[in-house]
Amino acid sequence: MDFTAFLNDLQYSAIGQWVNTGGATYPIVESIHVIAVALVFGTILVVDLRLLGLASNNRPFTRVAHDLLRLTWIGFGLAVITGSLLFLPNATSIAVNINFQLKMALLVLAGINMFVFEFISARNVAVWDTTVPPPNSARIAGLLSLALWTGVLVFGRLIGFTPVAGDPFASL
Amino acid sequence: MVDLLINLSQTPLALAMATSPWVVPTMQSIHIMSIAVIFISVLLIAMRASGYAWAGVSVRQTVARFAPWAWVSLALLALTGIVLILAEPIRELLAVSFWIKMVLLAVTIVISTRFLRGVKREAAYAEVDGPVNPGLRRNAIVTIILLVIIIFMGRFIAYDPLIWGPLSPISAIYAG
Repeated sequence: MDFTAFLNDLQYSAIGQWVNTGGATYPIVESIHVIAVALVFGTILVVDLRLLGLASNNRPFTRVAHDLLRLTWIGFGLAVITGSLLFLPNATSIAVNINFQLKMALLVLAGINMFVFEFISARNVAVWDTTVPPPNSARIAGLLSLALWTGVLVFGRLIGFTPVAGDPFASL
Repeated sequence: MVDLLINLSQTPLALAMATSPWVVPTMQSIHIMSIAVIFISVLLIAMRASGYAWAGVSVRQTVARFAPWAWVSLALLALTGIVLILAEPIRELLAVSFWIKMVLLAVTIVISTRFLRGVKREAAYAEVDGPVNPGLRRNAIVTIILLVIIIFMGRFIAYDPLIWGPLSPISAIYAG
């Protein structure tokens, strides 16, 4: 099966059509997506500022991360579910939307940055847990994370400013 | 009112902002980032007040850490919100969702200000890991629920006729 046909199937799937034509369903899913994004971006911002040594410096890094990462994952899970639901009704046009592609690319880079941090900088976290500022590798990871997640948010918003053929909400 | 808003939307400044490819998206992006900061700041204060997070620090210290971020974000929300209203006055000011959002925002600010005054005044809030006050927990839950509804209303502005049907004055404009 080719990719375009797959996207077409997604777009005209029962769930895709339900999101698109189910009255207030689309705006409700979009609102939950905003709350999920707020959870992800807000918690990551607090952790990144601690990594940069700019805030929460009176608290060990591991305690800041422990308090917030549960919320980050809840938000991320919610964002993936609601984001997928928003993608389905316009799958064919959104998949080729440059802003969507950039958002996804930045999301992958943010994930890679997180794994690099976990497996390299965070391995000796016990050494720098209470150090202010943290070592350069941790600060670079924090700065990259901040820039990448800001990009994810901005390009995510820009998707809504790209005309989509057949979008019933275009005039709103 | 509608005529006034139509005239406002036709001013050179409003037209320039509405037709610019970057003004509205940039303002909306900053608006959403500010929502994220205020939501997490209030959520963490609420979670600390309820005993769910930021343990080992007093409620007062937690407020001192996060409340300034919430106020700065609120100022940014107001600034970007004003630009968005100027760019699209009809879409914003005629939306039922916009006015519900504003009323709930005012209620949230009053509740939060009273909460912050209480935290500053009462010595118990300076205690590290002191017992959780049920009233404070109730206040925290109400504030978070209000913020969630405000976020919903903010997004619903774009879909006002769909959400409110004939109750939304924008429906009449589309019908006419």
